Amino acid sequence: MLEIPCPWCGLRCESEFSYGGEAHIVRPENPEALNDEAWADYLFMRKNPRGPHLEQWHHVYGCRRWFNVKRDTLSYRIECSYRVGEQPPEGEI
Amino acid sequence: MSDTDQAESPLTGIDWSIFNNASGVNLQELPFQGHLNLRGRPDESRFTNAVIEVLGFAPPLRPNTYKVVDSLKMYWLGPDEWLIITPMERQADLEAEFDKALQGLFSSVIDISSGQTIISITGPDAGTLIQKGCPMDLHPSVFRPGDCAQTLLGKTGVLLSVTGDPPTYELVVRRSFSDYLGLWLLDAVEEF
Amino acid sequence: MPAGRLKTNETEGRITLSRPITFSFNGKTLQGYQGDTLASALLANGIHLVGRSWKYHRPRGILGSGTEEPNAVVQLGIGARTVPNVLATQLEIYEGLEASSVNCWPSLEHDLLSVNGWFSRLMPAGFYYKTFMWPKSMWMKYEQAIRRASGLGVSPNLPDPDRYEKTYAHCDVLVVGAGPAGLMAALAAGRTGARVILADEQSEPGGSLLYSRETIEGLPAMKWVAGVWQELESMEEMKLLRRSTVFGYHDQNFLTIAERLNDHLPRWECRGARERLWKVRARQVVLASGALERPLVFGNNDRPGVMLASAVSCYINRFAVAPGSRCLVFTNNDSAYGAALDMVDAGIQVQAVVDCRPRPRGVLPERLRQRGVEIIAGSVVVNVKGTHRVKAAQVMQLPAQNGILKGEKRLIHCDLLAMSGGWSPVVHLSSQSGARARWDDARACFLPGMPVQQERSAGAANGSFSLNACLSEGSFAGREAARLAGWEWDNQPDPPSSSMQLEEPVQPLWLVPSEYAPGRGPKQFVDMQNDVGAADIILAAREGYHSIEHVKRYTALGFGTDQGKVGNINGMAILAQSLGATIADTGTTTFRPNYTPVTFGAIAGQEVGEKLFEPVRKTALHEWHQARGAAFENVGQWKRPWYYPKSGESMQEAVNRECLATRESVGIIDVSTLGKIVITGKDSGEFLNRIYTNAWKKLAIDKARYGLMLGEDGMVMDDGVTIRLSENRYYMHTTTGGAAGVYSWMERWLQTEWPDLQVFLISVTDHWATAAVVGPNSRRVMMGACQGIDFSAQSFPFMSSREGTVGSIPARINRISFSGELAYEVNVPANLGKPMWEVLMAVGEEFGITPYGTETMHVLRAEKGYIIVGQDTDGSVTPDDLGMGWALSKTKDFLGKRSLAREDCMREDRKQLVGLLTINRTEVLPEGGQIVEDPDAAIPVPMIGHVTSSYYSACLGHSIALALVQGGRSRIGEIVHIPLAEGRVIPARISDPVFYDPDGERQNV
Repeated sequence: MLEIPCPWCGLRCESEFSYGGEAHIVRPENPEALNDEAWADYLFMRKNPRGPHLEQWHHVYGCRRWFNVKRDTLSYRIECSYRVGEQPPEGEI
Repeated sequence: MSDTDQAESPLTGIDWSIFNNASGVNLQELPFQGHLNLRGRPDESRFTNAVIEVLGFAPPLRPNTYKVVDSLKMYWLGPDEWLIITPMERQADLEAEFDKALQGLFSSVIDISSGQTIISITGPDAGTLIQKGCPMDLHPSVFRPGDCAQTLLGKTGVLLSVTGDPPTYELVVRRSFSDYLGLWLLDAVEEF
Repeated sequence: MPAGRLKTNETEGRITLSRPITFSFNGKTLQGYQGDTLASALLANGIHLVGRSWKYHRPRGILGSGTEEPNAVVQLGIGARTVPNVLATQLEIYEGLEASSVNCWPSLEHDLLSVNGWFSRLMPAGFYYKTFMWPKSMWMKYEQAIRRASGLGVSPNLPDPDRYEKTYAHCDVLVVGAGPAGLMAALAAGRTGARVILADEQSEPGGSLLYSRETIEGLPAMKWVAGVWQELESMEEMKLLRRSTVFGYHDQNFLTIAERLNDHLPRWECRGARERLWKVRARQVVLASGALERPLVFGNNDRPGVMLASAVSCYINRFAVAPGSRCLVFTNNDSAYGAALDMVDAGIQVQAVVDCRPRPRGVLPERLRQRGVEIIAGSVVVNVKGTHRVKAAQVMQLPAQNGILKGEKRLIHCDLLAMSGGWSPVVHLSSQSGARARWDDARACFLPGMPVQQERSAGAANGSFSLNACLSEGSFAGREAARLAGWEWDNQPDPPSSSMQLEEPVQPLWLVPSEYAPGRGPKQFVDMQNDVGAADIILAAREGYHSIEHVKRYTALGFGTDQGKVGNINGMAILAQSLGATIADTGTTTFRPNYTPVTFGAIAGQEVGEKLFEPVRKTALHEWHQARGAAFENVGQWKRPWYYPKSGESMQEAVNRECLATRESVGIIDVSTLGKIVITGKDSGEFLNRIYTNAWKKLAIDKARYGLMLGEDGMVMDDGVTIRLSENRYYMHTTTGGAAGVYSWMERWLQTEWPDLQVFLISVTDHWATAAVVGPNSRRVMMGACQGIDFSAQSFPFMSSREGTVGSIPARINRISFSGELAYEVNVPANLGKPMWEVLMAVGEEFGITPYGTETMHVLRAEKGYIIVGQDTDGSVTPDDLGMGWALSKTKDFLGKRSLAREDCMREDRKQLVGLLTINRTEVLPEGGQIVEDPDAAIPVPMIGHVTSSYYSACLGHSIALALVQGGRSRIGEIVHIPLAEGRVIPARISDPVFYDPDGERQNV
C-alpha cells in the first residue's frame, strides 16, 4: 500500500485516494474544430511509461482535492506531488 | 406531540451500553447537533470577515485543524470548505446570519444536520480502538489536540478529531454509513 | 520420562519438566512438556517417521527445528478448526492437541501410494506436463486423481468459528527477529526514545541463543536475553510481539505481521482472537531475521534421522531431547562441530565427523579432536541406508574424477546423521523490499542487496554469522535506524561481547559426488517438500531450461508451502553447475510475500459476513421497511426495499398488487438513496450546460428539468432531474449507484479544467429523506398532508418544485415522475424522515396508499420506456441509441458532444433501444438474454442484440422487455428469437419502447 503526499493533507495511505490517470491532458478549446484523429488522440491516447509518470490522484476520503503526482511506475517511488495548475518539476514531462 | 418532536438520530438503532460498562472504551452518539457546510475563498478578506462577523472568530486555515469557541466547533475540510457544529437551537439563526453576511460573495452555507452524526469515543483504549481501522498515525505525538482529519475507519470515510490528555476522539460520519460504523465499533471494541 | 529425553543435571533447556502435557499424534496418546514443540515432543518419544512426501510418498522425518522445516508437516485438529500445513517444528504443544500425518493412506507406516517411489525413475521433472496432457479430454480426470494423491492436508469445510483482529500500526523502527542482532537493535533504538516494534516468530525471544551454550558478558546466553527483554519491556514506546511473523515487506516500508495469539493454548484457555494482523508503516526497518542452515545433497538424504546439525543442537540444548543415540556428522564448515560437541556433552555417541574440507583445523574441530572424535577429512557421505530410519551411511574419499568418486566405500552405522551445508541468510524480506540479493563467494551465500527502501540487515541475516558480529551489527543497525528516524542518544554503551570463537571458511559443496554420474544412483533430494531431486534439475538444464524461474516452474523447485527455504540455494547452485555458469549469474528466483503461510482468517479479519464485509447503507426509513416485512435489494452499498410481500404472497403477486395499486390509486416509495448534489455559485448554469447535454440557463426558478450526462467518449454515464432553487443555486439528482462517481467527475472538471468557474458542489444525499407519492390519487394525499402549497394543476404544474410542510415538518416537494403517473417527491431532513412518512401513510390510508419497492418502480418505469443507466446502458450506449437525441443541444458544447460525431457513433447498425413483446404474453424473458434473427442458423449464430430489462406488467397483462437491438428502430414489428440456456427458444415482437400511455397524459393531469 502506497503512501501518497496530498499537497494539503500530507502523507496519507493509498486507500484514501482514487487514481485519475495521466496528468496534464488539456481539453481542446474547440472540440468541433478537430478531426476524428485529433479528437481520438485527446480521448484515448495515453503515455504508458516504464519509469517516471505524471498522474492525477483524487483525495476522495480526505480533502477531496484533485492533484498531481510524479510516480515511478517501476519502483512505485513517489518523487513529489503538486497542485492542479502548478507545473511539474523542472526538466520533466 | 408535533411531528418534529419525533426526530430520529441516525444511530437510533445502536445500543452502545453493551460495552460501555467495565470496558476501556466509552462510545456515545452526540445526536441532534447543527451541522453547517461552509464554502468560500479564504484569500478573499470579505469572506473571512463575514465569518468573523457571524461566528466571532476566523475560520481555521491550517489544513486538518479545528477550532472550538464556546459551543461552536469549526473544522477545516478543504482549502475552501469548513464544517461548523453548533447546538441545534442556534443552527437556523446561524444559517440566516451567514446567508446575510455572505450576500454577493462566492460562498455558500448549507444545512446538512440530518446528513451526518457524531460519535464520541473516550477511555484509555479509545486511540487503540480507532487505530485498528484507521490507517493514519494516531500516536499522541503525531495526532495532537486541535488536529482533525478526514480519513477512513473500517470501510467508511469519517472526520476524526482529537482533544485532551488522555486523548478523546470525535467521529463525524455520514448518516447512511453510521449504522455500519456503529456495528464496526461494537465489534472492534469487544477486546477492550 | 520418555526414552529420548536427556537427563542433564544442569539444565532442562527451555522446557518445564514440572508441567507435563498430554497430546496425540496419529491417534496415539503421548506426553511432552510445557515448552516443547510437536517435533521435539515426538523425538523425545522416539518418533522419527512423521509424514510421507508429496510425490513419491517416501517416509519423511524431522529435518529442522523451525520455520524452515520441509518435511514434518501435519494436520492439526478436527472439524471447523482443523488446520492443514502446520509445521511440527513450530507447533507448541498444549493439553489435548491432536495432530496427524499428511500424505499417507491408509496409515503412516504402510502407505499404499509409496509405490510411486518405486516408479520414481519414470516420474522425472515435468512428468505431469509430459504424460497427462493427452488425450486432452482426459486432463480433468487425471487432475482429480493427481490432486487426491498429492497435497499437504485438507482445509476445513465448515465456517471458521474463530475471531481475527486487525490493526494498523506506525513506528520509527521495526525490528524483525529477536535473536542476538534483533535484541541489540531494539535495545539501541529503544534507548533513544524512538517508537519501536520488535517482532519475533517464536514463543520466546532469543533466536539462535535459545539453543546456544555461549556466554554473553559472562552470562549464559539466555540469562543475558532475559535481562535485555526486561529492559525492553520497561520502555514506554516499545511494542514487543512474540509468535509474530513478519511475512510481507511491501512498498514504502509497509510491512505485514501475523501475530498468533491462541494457537499455543488448549481450547479452553483461548480468549479473544486467534490471530491479529498488524499492518505496519515503519519509518525504518532492521532485518535481523537470522540464517537458515542448508542441507547437503547426497543419496537418500531425505531419510528420517537425517537432520540439520543446528536442529540437533536445538533439540539437545533447547528441548533436552536426544534425536538419536549414535550420530554421524557430515559438514563443509565449522558450525557442525559445535553440534558434535553438544552431542558429546549430552552423552550421544558421535561416530565421526565427515568433512569435505581436506584439513579442518579450526578451534571447534580441534576441540572435538581432543574429545577423541574421529574426523574423516576430505570425504563425503554418498548414501544412506535404512528406509523408515537411518541405519548407516556410506562414506567415500574425495576428490572426484570427472564428477565420479572411485575407491573404497566405508560403511558407518548410525541412527542420526547431522549435516551442515553452510548457512543462508534469510534475505526474503530484504528481497521483497526490492533489494536484489547478491552472491558472496567467500561466505558461499546470498547476502541482502543494496537497500531500495529504508531498511538494513544485521547479524546472520547480513551474512555475519559470529555471535560477536551479530551483537555489534545489531546494535549499530538499531542506533542508525533510530537516528534516521530522528532519534539519538549519546550514551549508547558498547555492544557486549561473547565467548564465541572465530571459524574457518566454509567450502561450498552443492551436489555431493558419488560413484555414479551426477543424477544417477540413489535419489539426492534438493527440495524435500516437493520431491525435487538433483537429477530433475540436471534434466531440466539438459532439456534447455536455463532460467532459474523456468526451472522452478518445470521442476516445482521451491513451490511448496515452505517456499524452498532450505532447498532453493542448493537447487540454484546445482543448476549453475549443470549450465557451467556461476551462481551469481544464475541468480535466485523472486522472493515474494508471504514468507510463511498466512491464514485466510488473519487476512479477512472481522470483515466477513452480512454486517462487516461491505458497508450497508441504510435510509432513515429502513426500520419502517423492515417492520413492514420488506424484502431488500442491494443497490450499490444501499439496502432498498425490493417489494413488500403480504403473508402468503409470492414476489410476482406482491409486485402485481403494488403496480396496480399505484396506477389505480396511489403508491409510495422511499427514494432517499438517489444522489443529491447542491450546485451553487454564479456560474452554476454554465457548469450544468457543460456537464449535461441540454441547456440550463433559461430554466426558471422552482422548475425542474431532466438531464443526461455523458462521458467524454459520448456514452451515457448518468441521468436525473435537476431543480433550480434560486438564481445561482441548483439541486441535482443522480442515480443511486452513480452518485459518488458523478460527484468526483464534476469536482474533477471544476478543479482541473474550469477553475475559473465560480461553482461549489456540496453532497447532500444523506441530509434528505425522500418519499415519492405516485398515482392518480397522489394529489389528494398531498393536499391532505401538506400546508402552504396550492396543488392545483395550474399553480403546481409538472416539473416544478414548492416549499411547504408535511404535517408540521418543513419540506420541499418536487412534482416529478419516474412512472408516468401524477407524482410528487417529498423531501425532508432525514432526522424527520420517519414522521414525514407516517403522515403520508396516515393521510393516504383512505386511498389505500401502497408502499412499493424497487421492483415495482422498475416495472412502472419500463412500461413507460424510461431507461435505468447501468441496466439499459452499459457504457457503450449513446443518447441517440436510446432514442434520446432530443436531449442534445445543438447550440452549445458539452462533455462528450464531439464524440457523438465520430464515425462509429454514427453507424446505422448500432444497437438501439426498443421494446419486446413476447408472443406468449405471460412468458418473461431473462435479462441479458441474447437476441437472434434465426435460431436455426449455423453456429455461431449471429447475435443482433440483448434484453436489458424484462418484467411481467400486470397493468398491461403482458410480459414486456426493453432491449438493445442492431438497427432496432427500423425493425419494429419484426419477430426475433431469444434462445435460452436450457435449449428452448422464445419468440418476441420488436415494439416501441413506450408500452403505456404513450402521450404522457397521466402525469400531466
